[in-house]
Amino acid sequence: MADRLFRAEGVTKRFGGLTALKDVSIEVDEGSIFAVIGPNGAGKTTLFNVVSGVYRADEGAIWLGGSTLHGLGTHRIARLGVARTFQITRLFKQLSVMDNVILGLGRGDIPMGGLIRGPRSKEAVDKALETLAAVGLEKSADTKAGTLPYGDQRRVELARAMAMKPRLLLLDEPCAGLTHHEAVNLAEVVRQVRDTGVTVVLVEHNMHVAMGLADHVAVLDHGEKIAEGTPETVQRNPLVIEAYLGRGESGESHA
Amino acid sequence: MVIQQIANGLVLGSLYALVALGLTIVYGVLRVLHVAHAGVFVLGAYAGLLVYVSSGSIVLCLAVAMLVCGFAGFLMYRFLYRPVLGRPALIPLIVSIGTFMFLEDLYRLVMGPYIKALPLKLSLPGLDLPFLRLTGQQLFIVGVTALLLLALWWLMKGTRLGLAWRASAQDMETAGAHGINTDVIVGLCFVIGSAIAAVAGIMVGSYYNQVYPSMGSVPAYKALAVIVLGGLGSVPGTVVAGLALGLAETLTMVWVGTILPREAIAFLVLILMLLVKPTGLLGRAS
Repeated sequence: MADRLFRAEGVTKRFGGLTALKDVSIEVDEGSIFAVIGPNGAGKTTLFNVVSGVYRADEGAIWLGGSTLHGLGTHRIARLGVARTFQITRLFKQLSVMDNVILGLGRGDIPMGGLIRGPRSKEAVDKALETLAAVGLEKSADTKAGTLPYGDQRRVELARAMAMKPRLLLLDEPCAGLTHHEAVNLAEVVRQVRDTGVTVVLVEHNMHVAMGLADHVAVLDHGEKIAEGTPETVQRNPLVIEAYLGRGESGESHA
Repeated sequence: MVIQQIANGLVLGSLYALVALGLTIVYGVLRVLHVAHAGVFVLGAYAGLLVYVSSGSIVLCLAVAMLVCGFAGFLMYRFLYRPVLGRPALIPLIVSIGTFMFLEDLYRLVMGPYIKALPLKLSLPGLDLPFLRLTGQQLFIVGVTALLLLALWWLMKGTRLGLAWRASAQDMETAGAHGINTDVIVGLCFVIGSAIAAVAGIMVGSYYNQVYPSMGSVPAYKALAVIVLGGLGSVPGTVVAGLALGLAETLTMVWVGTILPREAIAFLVLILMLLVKPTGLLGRAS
């Protein structure tokens, strides 16, 4: 069995009276694709925000390899090797595509002494172009990121995350807003990323996308994990079907 | 005559731009109106005055004032602004106004309420042409402003710090998710902006040969007008707006006379500008 790269244990996050995550535990094998699915408002994005340090978990522990991520700032977690994309693409829209990717390259190698060095060393530019080529956008390097079509922006965001050479890549609804054709292409890119040894955790609202990509699936509903397993077993789980299709009376949480 | 007045206006405008730059840098990355910046500007004038009186060296006077103000800017960020970041925008604003008032009274207590002279002795030749006469001091002001602007431009466009700064200004959270320590970036913005304010304080103090505790009041609101004019958060916009304001004030005084107090012109220009282009000179609609 492969090594565990990522572990979240008993993670709970409350916002005032609302419990967005309740005692959620997941374990992700190195080199696998792990999908977190669930209906809207199930806590999927909150889970990502807790893992990447935007929010601090009220309870629980989060580990990447041997290091704890709990309580670290976003930039520390990024430098430990966690990269992410966002549900609604968040590029630096006023910067060029190249500069966006170069910012991704910065992981760990922007020491204080390096701050006044030029950002565009030949090495950085070469690496950025190589990364852009992997998503098929090397021709757009000098375009202002905000002017690209949305599907291309998604790919730049992925390239920027890949430039960080992450150990764990968090993808928040990577296929949201894409056409079917674009989504199929992106799924292929995600597989290629996994094949380079990066562990991928993706959040997906769309069951079919998630089931087609993932080796392992966890289902969240109302902030709780209601099922986990291979795509086949999860798909047949009555709790999951109920969470997606409803059961007449909504608002109650599942035991 | 006209050329002379334009030159005078540009010298005045350089001073406005210098005062407002720090405000713009901080606003650009934090979206906080750093009113206490004018307090740092006065601190720079006093620090420069003390060093100059005891050493007689202009270089030392500028260097020490920049260091002192840079450090003061860092302390302000660390202990005043950082604790209230993420709260509604009104809270950092109130902190800032309170700090500014506190500083004014602190200067009054420590340095006394009276006007002190800051007669920088520049051994610079002036410019003496038939149509244009500029003193060595005026040339010095324009030269130092140009030098600082060049340095800032290089910092913003040609360094990793600048790239990280621009990224943080656009989206702090995403910058953090890519390994940028936004806390350090914002801290450096305060340090750099405050060091520029120190230079501005010395320049203004020596231009009018006056340093006094409330010398920051008028620059405080004029700088506000300048950064809004320039399109909040835009460094080139701030420079253009500062120069434009200096010109507008000088030329109005010459052609229209003193119907309006000079201090009112800044806001008249601001109101007219906002009616025509609400995003400011070089601002972007967001």
